[in-house]
Amino acid sequence: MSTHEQWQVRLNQVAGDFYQLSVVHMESRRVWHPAINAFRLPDRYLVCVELAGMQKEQIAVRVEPQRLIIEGNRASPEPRCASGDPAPQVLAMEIDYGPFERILRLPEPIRTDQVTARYREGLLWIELPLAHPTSPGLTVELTP
Amino acid sequence: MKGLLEFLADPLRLEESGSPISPGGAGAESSAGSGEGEIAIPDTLPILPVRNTVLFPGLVAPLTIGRASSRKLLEESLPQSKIIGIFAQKDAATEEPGPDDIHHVGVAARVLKLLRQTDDTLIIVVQALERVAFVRALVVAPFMRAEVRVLKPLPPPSDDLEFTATVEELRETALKLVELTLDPPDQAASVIRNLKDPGQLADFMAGSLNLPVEQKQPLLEELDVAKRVRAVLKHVAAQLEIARIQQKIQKDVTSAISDQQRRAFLREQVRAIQKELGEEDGGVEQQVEELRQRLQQAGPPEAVMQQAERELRRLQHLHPASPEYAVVVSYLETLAELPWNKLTEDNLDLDRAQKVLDRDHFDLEKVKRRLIEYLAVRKLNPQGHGPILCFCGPPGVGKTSLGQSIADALGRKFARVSLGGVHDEAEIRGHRRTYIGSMPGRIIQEIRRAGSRNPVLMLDEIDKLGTDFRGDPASALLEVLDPRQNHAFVDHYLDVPFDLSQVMFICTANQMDTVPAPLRDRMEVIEIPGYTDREKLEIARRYLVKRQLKEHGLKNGQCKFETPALQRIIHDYTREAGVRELERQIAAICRHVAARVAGGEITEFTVTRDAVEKILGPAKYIHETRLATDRPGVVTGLAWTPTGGDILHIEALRYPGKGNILLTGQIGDVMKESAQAALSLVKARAKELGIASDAFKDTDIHIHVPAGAVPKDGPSAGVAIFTAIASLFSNRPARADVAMTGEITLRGLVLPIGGLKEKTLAALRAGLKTVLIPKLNEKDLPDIPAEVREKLEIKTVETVDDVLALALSKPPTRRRRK
Repeated sequence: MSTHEQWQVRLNQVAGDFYQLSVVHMESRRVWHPAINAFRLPDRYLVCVELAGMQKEQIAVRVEPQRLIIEGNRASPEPRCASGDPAPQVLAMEIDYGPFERILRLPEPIRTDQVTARYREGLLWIELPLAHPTSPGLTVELTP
Repeated sequence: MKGLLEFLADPLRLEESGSPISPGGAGAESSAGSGEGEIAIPDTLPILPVRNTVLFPGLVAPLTIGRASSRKLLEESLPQSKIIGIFAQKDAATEEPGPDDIHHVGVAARVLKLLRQTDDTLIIVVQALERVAFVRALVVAPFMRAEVRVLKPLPPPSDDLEFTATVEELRETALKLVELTLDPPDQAASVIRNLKDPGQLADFMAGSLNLPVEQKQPLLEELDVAKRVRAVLKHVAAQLEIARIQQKIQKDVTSAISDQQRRAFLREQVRAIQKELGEEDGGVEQQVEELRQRLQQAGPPEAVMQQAERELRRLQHLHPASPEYAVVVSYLETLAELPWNKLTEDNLDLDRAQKVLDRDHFDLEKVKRRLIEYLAVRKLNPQGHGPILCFCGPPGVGKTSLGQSIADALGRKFARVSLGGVHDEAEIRGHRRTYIGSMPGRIIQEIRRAGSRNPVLMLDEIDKLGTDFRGDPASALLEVLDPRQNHAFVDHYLDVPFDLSQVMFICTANQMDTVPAPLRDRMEVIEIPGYTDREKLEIARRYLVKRQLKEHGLKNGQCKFETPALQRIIHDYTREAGVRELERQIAAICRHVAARVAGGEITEFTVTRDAVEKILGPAKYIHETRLATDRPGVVTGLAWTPTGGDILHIEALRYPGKGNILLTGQIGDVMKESAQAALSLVKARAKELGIASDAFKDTDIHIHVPAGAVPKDGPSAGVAIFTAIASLFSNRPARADVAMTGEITLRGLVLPIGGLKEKTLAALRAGLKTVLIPKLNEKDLPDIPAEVREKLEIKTVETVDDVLALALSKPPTRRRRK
């Protein structure tokens, strides 16, 4: 359960007693947000998205000069069972499933035509070369 | 959609080729998720009955699952389908609701998550999708499964302005409500702003409002969007109103608190400023506490303490700036300062007392004896009441200073109240506290000043008390001076009794005539007569000269007074009962000597008899004997005055007239009658006196008593007037060195008079040789100082004939010789 959802649960349990209004999350289209790690290297951004249990075809990456959008739909993982077997009981269902979306704003423009992505071991690595890279070791010159 | 990329490429391939993701993929705007946006709702759904909750399409909500049947429902149905039907229970108390126990409109919802809190409790997060109607129950156990029908909302009229306005109104009201009740409101506010579909907006608000199921369910069942929006608006508006009232109440409460806090804060600041200015008075509480402590130290009687406690309580409720506050504080201060329990110990050493009295005053044996007696009694009976003495005598004889000596002799505090000219009762007994500027009477004030409950309290000039419309101070003194009453003297200001019984009261007066009888009755009058010349000489030698030398800075030996010089001052420059004038004359001489010593002219000076005349000028008083002539019709009488005795010259004159009698010299009625009686007596005895029987015919008589400016009255000059008339008509001059006093009757008897001592003293001062007094006054002779008896020839007379025999000289003519 993400922090957002934990907050939702707690708020709805508690807040209803005190306010005329209890905030209920409302979305016409329910999406979830995969977790990321992001890095800035001298010449590029590196973004790692946690997206386990998917086929790379199911993931869509779109880039704009200062925006990165990751979208897709992950099916709920189900046990394999032969037909005729009794249906398994569900004891917990914590893994996010269904449509997801993650939009990142990038502080510096990137070269949209040189973005590459790689999906390996459940992680999606996206490399975003900077439009105006600063060379390694280059520091801002101080005017004397 | 420039720069938009759809990336479905194989990453490995991309790496191998190194080729970038190329732009393209037009029309692929909708993401993969949108394909599943339309979730198909099956015809049959497992039915989850819920308590106290109505879900609306579009809402994501957590639900707590406690019922075993519900748990089973989720556990068994979720593997097949994530979609369940959620229906509100009609009655929250129903434990296992059947198809008839639930509302028949609910929502189809997708279970997003299933979390286990504990073994028995699940939390599911559901997203409500569509309204569904319960059509028919298929299975009831272990959980309900039913056939449902999706309910499509009736779309609103597309171009209805009223509807559009209602939607906007709902949005605005909802925003205000969110603004008021949520902190922070941003998230919900943005949802409200961004929801374009009126139905969804209404559903969002309906789901968010804290309404009971009975009110929420109709909103869910309302398929007509327009109607639903209006219904929700009504609820939202009502909630907004409640929120506003709540907020106002809260604000009022808050502001009430903060107002009080503000006052407290300001007061604290004022105190800090006062402290900084050094004006800190410690506040009311501290002052009250201080006063209470002082009162307890003073140890007043129980009744007084109770009264004080009452006032202290009042003080606590008064503002320090109010005038009443100052009144109460000064009252309590007065109470605290009174010597309720403080007594000085009497020094009962009789010898010492005698020494102290002798040191300060010459003679006055009678007074001293009385004081020693008092001390003796005091020694035997310490609890006795203080006596009330009254010293009566002429000015300057030392009555007031005697009071101080008495206090010294007794070892008591001395306090003095001058009553001369006091004509307001309040001066004695104080003003009531209702008056502004009220204060206790002089008695209480002096006792407070003395600081002990048993001082010697001198009431000076008690004969000069006035009386007017403001009351009679003499009557107020009655209570003070009664030893049986004054143990509980109530001053108007104090309003509580104060014990005066241990006070030794000493009054002084010049004459007792003007002292009201009841007051006189309460006092033991001790007469202090005037001093004789010899006594004055002693006083001058022992006290006055020393004092004046010291006063003028003359050292011992620089100025010596010879005894004849002092005698001359007493004799020729003063005529008084006391010694004030004498002291002034001595002071005049001292000044003269001091001037010469300071000028370096002389270093020491001896005052001789002659020097006195040089310094003081010619003699101020001439002895009346010198005034006296041998002329018939002039007789020396004696008079009593408040300042001691004096001599009178009575002059009689006859001239042709009609037999009238004229009396002048400020003579009172009694004296006039006395003169008439004297004349009648002379006429009646004309023959015996050798007066021609027609002598009174065609003759007016004028009797004058100088000095004309001094009022005179009384019968005691009768003898003298008779002698004067007799002398005049018999043409026999009276002896100039003989003085006489006595009242006459028509039978020719001489009646007794008062003030014999003063009169004889006056005669001695005037240098007369013989004094004729009534026979009946013989009893008073022991009172007359020995000196007087030695120097004066005092003769007693019974009748006027005795007087004439002694006073008139032998007839100068041949007329008759007895």
